[in-house]
Amino acid sequence: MTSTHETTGDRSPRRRLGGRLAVAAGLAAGLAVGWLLLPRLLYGREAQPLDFNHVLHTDDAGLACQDCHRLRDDGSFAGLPDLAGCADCHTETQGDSPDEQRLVDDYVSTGRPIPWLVSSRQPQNVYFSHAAHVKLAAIACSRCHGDIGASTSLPVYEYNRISTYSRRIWGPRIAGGGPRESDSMKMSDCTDCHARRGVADHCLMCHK
Amino acid sequence: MADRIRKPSQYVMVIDLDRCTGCGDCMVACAVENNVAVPPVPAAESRGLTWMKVYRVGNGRPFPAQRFVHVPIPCQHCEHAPCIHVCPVTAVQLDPETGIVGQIPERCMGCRYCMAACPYHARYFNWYDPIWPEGMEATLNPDVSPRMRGVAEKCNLCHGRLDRARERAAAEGRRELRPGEYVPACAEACPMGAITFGDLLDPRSEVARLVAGPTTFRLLESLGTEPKVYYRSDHEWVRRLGQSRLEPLRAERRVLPEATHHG
Amino acid sequence: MTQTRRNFLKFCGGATVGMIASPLPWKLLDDAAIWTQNWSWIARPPRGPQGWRYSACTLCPAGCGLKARLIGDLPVSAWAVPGHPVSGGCVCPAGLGLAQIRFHPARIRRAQRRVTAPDRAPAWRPEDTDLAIADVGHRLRRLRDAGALDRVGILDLRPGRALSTLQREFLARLGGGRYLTLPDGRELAAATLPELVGPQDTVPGADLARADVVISFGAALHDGWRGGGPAAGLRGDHAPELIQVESNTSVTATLADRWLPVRPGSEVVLALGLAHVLLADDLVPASTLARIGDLEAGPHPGYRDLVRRFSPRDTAAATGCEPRDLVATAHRLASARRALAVGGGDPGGGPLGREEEAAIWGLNLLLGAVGGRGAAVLRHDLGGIFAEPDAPSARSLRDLPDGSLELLIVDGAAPGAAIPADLLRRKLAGPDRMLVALSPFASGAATAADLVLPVQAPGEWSDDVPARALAPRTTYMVAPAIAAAPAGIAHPADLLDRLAAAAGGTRADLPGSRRHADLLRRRAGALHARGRGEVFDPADGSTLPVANLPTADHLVRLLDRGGCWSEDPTGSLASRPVRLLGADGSLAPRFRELADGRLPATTAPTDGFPLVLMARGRQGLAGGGPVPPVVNKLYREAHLHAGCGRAHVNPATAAACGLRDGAAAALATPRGRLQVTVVCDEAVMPGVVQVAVGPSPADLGDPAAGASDILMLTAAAERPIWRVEPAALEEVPRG
Repeated sequence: MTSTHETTGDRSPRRRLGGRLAVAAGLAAGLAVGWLLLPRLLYGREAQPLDFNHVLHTDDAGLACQDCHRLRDDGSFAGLPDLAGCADCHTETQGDSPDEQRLVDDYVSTGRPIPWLVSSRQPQNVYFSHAAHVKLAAIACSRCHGDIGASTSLPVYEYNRISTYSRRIWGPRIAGGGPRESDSMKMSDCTDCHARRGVADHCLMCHK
Repeated sequence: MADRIRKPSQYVMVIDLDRCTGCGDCMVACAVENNVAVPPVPAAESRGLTWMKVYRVGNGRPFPAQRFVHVPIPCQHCEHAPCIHVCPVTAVQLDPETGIVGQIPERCMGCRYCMAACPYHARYFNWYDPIWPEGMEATLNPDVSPRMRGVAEKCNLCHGRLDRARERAAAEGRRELRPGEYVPACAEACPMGAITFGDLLDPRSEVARLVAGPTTFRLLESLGTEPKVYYRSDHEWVRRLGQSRLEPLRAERRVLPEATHHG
Repeated sequence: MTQTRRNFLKFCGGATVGMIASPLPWKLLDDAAIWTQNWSWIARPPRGPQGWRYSACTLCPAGCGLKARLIGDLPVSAWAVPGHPVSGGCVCPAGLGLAQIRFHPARIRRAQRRVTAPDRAPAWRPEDTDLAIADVGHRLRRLRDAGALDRVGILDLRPGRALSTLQREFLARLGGGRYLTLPDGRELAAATLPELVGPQDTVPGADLARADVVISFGAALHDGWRGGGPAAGLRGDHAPELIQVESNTSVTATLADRWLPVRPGSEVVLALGLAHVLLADDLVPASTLARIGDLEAGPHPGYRDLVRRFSPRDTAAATGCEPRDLVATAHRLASARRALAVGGGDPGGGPLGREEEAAIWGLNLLLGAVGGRGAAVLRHDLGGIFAEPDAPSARSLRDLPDGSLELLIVDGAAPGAAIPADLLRRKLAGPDRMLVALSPFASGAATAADLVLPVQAPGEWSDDVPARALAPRTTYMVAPAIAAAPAGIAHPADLLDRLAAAAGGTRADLPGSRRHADLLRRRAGALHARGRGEVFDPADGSTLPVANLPTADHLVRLLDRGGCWSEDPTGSLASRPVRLLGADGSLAPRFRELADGRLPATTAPTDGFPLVLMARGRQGLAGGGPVPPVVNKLYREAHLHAGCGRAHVNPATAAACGLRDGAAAALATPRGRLQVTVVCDEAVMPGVVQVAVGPSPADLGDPAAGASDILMLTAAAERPIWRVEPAALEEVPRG
């Protein structure tokens, strides 16, 4: 057929190369968007209301993790200390950091709770027992939370714009981005660890 | 490693049908505990959602030989659960450690195979978004997450209470629970003490004694589902009812001991 | 590379492949799935530490001990307190919903004025509460100026509380008015005993748990819905043997060890028939007989002579039960160490008559069950202990002639039993007649009201809970508030203050809620000063003698934490003379009429009404009070409560009337007609139509569903007894 003949005749090596280049460029662009741009677009970043220096509190003030992040008597985990816990020491400023000044002025003196953005807070349908992991299994806090206790400044809170979950608790890491294994709290991290330690991993153990 | 493994349990429930008054305490306690939604517009009865339903059944005989029994039916937690086998997305699992058949709504895709497969009608479907009368969301139980529209759900023996009990034990450095530390809401609420709950693997438990009793039975035993919810009644017609074999009894026209007055 | 359309498409194709090979589509799909699990309108449970607050249920007079589970400061659920002296670890479905009931859709936050006629389904128009209070105040002022304060009444549906005292104080500040109550079957039963044994400083109680055999004359022991208290004695392996005398197969009849189906209204005949066997077969100890003053004929006919007419054969003929069952039952009662006969009527079917309760107490007295270590105990009444000043004796609303009130204020406490709406309305007359309800909900007695004024809901204020009628022990609890009331909703005592102020009454020195709190403390002080009894601490289940508490404040604190004071029954009838026909022998003529075949609860047979209508209700629900929506939903789905629109009949009765299951029918009595749906139910005795009192489950709590519809077909508004009414059932074409 004449049309077929004309078409093949049209495809010079140069044009064929151009076509391949277009495919390659498209592929590269697609991969770049998917692997590099997406993680940047997908996650929003939000600043904490105050900065917090863990080292100052652990090394200098001599506090242990569980002095502020304590287990209640019934085994439930209190999470972040409430304002009263901060006010125990910070009714007045002790140093000269502007964040401490704001803590006293904006929160301790007004009684308004500090709206911390908790990057390790699990979704409503997840059950996690600190008592079982910390007391029974004697797992160090840093195993899941990383070396946050050795930090002098809070990490930026990153959240997924679609699911609204914190980046540390939801979804696989992309291209090595996001939190490291030691301070990631995704479902795969939980099940991996359970499998390694030979602990049961029935759905309802962690889902409610 | 051994110390990391919790001793397995077989949590079972024995419901004494001779004590049940059909007051509905178990249903209400269950719904309050497990955040069962209360839509303001009454849904069609067939689309209602509950984890525990009390049925009133008669022996089919005329007055005054008629007798009634109230049968509370939660998920039967079958050892060979049909709902597990039919679920295409593995949203239902049998926990070998506790014997509890659990379902996680996030995995459910709403095909409702499990509802068709369940011989006990113990599974329910979220036909509507879960909504409560205005303000009542403030009374939801934080240990149980509200489900979303379009998923199936069922009793999980108040797993949130098991979690709480384990957590309390862990805080005291214990891995094992003491008897009575974990009791589902229905068993706690029953004003007649008709629901006994415990670990069948503990030979000293009350349930072990009751399960061994001659008048204890399970619903539709011939199906081989091996439920972990047991029932008991001193009345033969009730035990036959549990096997759906009331008809031959009626056909025989036998005078039942309980058809006349007791004693 | 040239920019051609073809290359552009190739670029797009490459980009698509590249993106597919990247996490992008999968991640977006995944996140979108999570997003759909977290729709913004899916409720989020509260977060916070778990805590407990102990209190008591105030949804009915039973007063079951409750512990509220708190998350942070908010109550999320309520559970029974194990080992509680009042409820023994029981609570009914409504009590389980106490934490939710504040959010009932029938909750009102503004005054509601009725816009429909009294005989129509209620509908209200919201109104400014201050204006509504001013309106009531204006009417009260006008009545006082006219010197007609005796045409003002306040109806206390749960007398004996601290609020009851403030209600009387309200009338005193007004300068007059009637303090009214409406005793239910149990209260009337308790009031009957003094007629036989003379006035006592004690009141009777039924100690089911310690009885060996209980014979119940239609008492809804296991059907009791808001009756954790009474049922508490009947659970467990050591439950007493139960004999139920009742026409229909109630749950109590089903679970009883022996059920005696009797013709409707003939329970009293059976009681007298049992007395006959006890006397005829010499089953009553001589010492007991010696104390009965009217056993033999004197100025009046003797009890023995009257009872002689109730031979097993005659009794069997009247009641429809077998003579040998009757004799066997009497012998069983006599052989038991502690046998107890209980009446008390049905929450929906109404009280038993005076002669019926007297016959049942007579049985207890013959069995030696009353007082001492008996199963029918005598205990001290709190009224005598508190002895609060300005306490004129209450009058029953029933005893007031019709039309003797112009303004009636009904307290919002949910009663245990049915309140016929007609009964309230027919007491009112005059150009300005008005029924005012103080209620958190537009339900219950409020459905009959012209004006509903909003008050705080149960669980939002600290009501106190005296022992219910026939309770086996004297108990007293404060039900501490478990939640904060919404802003702007008044404490009931504060609302009374505002009404008094609007009416120009004398002012009180302190706000009502403060005086209420003071009164609760004074009551605890009176209990402490008396030094008797013990206090149950719900937090650890311990019990402490009151005498061991150093100061009254200790008792106040324990009660504020949901503690329960209780005292063992101590009253005794030893050496007391007993008159089984009443002090003046006035029961003799009634017993004679019974022997002649005139049953107390039946009106004379009427042509065209071949059936009998028996109303029936569950405690609390029959009063039409609010029901937690979750109970409403579950009862509807499980068909556990019939509702007033359904007439339950035996299939044989339905066939005789030419009706099928589910047929639309007209239920007629000499007093009126009602459209019903026929439900064939083997539980109902042939010839009986059983209808539940209270709203149907489809609209429990809906003000438009009148709680007392079925009572309009009975004598409930005219007579205190309305258990049995001649009736007819005929098919009507649907549509």
